[in-house]
Amino acid sequence: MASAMGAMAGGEGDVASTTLVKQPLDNRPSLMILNYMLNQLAVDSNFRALAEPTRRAMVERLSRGPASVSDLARPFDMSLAAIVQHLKVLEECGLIRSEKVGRVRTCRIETGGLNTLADWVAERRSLIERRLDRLGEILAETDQSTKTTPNEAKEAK
Amino acid sequence: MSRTAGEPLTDQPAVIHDTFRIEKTYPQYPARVFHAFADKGTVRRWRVEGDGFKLHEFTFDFCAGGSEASRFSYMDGPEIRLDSHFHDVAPNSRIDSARGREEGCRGLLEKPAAELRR
Repeated sequence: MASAMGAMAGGEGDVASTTLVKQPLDNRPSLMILNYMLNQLAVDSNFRALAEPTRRAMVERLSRGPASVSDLARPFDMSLAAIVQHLKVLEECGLIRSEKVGRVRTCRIETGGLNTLADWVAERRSLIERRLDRLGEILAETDQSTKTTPNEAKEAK
Repeated sequence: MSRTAGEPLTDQPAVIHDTFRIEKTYPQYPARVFHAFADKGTVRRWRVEGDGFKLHEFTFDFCAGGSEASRFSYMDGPEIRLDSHFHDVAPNSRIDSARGREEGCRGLLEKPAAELRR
């Protein structure tokens, strides 16, 4: 779509629209507040969705691979309409997605769908745990820059 | 301390004793991990720097009898002051230390022992 708009504008207009797109929008305070609020809403809807045992069981099932709606419904003693309603909640908050091929609707885990919650949990980790995580990152960084120190070479033998 | 029998104990204790243990496995050799606890520049990077940290002071002398002092704040929190003293250092295996921590009006005395095992 961007390229189509660029082609329509042409010449100088093209350059101007490119510059506008490249501006770091995140630096604007109002947008940062908006992003924060949107994120809080996402955390809220994710926790709400997963607080329900049936929906959690569905996510657990889907994390092992895609499944049709009727497959997902099988373990539960409830109407298909209720199952579809649960799946809709999960899909609306981005935890799963579904597509209909022919007469079968297949659901799967949304890649990165749990990131919102994973980030939220990571941010709640205590200072000492975060430090040890950071130590791990630094050790991994130095792995890449220097392959082995003489001491390790000795130990490796 | 004059508490009559049956009266509920509602006051928060002034001193809380606690012990906890964190186990973490790094894929690197113990020598590498030990180095990250011993080298001033590296310690500074993982302990008091990073997103959300504001560092005001950092001194570090890593040896038995040496000490570490840092003043920093994290996110919007109060200034935290850490004063550590290294009691015993066994290269590549164990670091015993004691430290005092002041955070706003709270004070903590910690006795961390880092043990490195393969």
